[in-house]
Amino acid sequence: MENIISVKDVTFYYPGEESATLKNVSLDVYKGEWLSIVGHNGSGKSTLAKLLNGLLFPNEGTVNVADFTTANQEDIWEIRRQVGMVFQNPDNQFVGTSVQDDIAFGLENFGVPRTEMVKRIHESIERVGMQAYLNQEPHHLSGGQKQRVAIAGILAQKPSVIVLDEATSMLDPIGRVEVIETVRELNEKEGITVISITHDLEEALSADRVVVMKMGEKAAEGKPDDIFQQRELLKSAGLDLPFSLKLSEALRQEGIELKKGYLTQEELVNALWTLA
Amino acid sequence: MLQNVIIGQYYPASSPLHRMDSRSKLIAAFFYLFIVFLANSWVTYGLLIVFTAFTIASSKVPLRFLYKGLKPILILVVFTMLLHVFLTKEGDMLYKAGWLEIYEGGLIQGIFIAMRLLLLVLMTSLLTLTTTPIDITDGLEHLLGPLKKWRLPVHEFALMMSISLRFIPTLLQETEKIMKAQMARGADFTSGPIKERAKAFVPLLVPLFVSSFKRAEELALAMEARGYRGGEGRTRLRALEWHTRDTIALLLLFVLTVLLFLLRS
Repeated sequence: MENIISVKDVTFYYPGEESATLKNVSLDVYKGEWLSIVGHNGSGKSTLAKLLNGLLFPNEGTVNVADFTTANQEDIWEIRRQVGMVFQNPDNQFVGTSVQDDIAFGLENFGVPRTEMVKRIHESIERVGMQAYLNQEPHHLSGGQKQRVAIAGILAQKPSVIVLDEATSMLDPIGRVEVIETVRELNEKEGITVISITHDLEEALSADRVVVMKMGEKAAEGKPDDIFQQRELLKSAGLDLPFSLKLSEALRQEGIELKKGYLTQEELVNALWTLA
Repeated sequence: MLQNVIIGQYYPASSPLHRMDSRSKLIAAFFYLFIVFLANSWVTYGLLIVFTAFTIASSKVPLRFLYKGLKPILILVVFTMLLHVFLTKEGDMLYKAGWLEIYEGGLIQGIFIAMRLLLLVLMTSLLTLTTTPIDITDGLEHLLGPLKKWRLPVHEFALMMSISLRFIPTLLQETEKIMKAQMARGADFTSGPIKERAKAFVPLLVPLFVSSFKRAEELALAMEARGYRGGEGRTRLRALEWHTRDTIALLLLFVLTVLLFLLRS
């Protein structure tokens, strides 16, 4: 598969800190996949995200996006255009005084001509289903709606990758579903690569691939099915197992013969009612 | 209460004045500040009053909104008027009671000064009543644009203004939240002597400050992630459009100026 981002042997120190936040991390992100990076607070997952679009620069190693590298100052802008980022707090990334002003912000930065800008704003706001809110002010929007506007702002820049940096952690359950569904559609229908940084394993369940971060190092990498069978690893990384997995575990300890830990509720239910 | 917070005193309507370009309104209001001082006789003041009344009428702003804007400065107007009435000793004496003497010249002077102040405030409030703060910011950025040559941070200033405007409701909401949290723990913001009340606000302001700094930092990061790198090479979504009505308005103002010059004594 074709790489869209490749991180090679990256080590990163925050200035003034003794120990490295990231230690010798290597990671490939494939075109069109949904990659979840999971880890506890302080595992370095958010730092890793900021290295992907040149908000931070590695002390050692390289970060390449498509044919560009963050080490090259002239490539930074193209990398930031290609790798859009949705941050945790919906309020603190809303720059414009209205929805359309906010979507325009990125386009203005990249010097897109006005007529093209208007076209792209309408196009991208439709893709996140917020057409009715074009002139709305941010304080009239819910958290989930603000995050969708942030996604629209990124879409308008015609990105190849969207990074969700804990983008759903401050939302209510409805907002969370809204945002995840929006991104899923973009991932499936338009082939936009999604990197979701989260400590919520439920969210990581539906990813194509999962990377587990622990103490600034990559602890594991693989399909969710394989990763979630390694319970000890996940526990030692400080992560809380998804509910259906915990339940299958408990049932197994009670002597009920389940073949494995089931990841989703549906799988578990199916396994249970077909038990001989 | 915060759902309908209106920033500034913008009165939403669709009048000819509302539809004018914010640049022409800014230029007109600024110019008006100077020509008001040309008036020095009943005729010239009359002319200004007619012009201002005409502008108010074409703005469709209800008079009580204008009055609300005037209220805070009425005291000042009355005070300056009285000062002139009592202290200017010119012309015939009209009234005398003990040490109090009122002269004709003083009375006229007082009335003129009061009118001048009222006219000034009326015109400038019309600007903010018919133009949204963000439009004023845009207009200022365009008008001050040439100053960039002298390295004046015009774009940065405008961006700062628009971000402040955007965050006012957010910070108000947050203030309300913190207030409720403190009240739930027994803080009292509404009663007691002033000193106590002022003290009660410290636990409100500290968290508000801390979170504002955090917000600023995160916002800066989000802006950079979206490719912000200063005003250089930036295009703009908000376009200001100069229409015929803007030219007409400025021409009217020019005619008024000429008339004022001709008629002043």
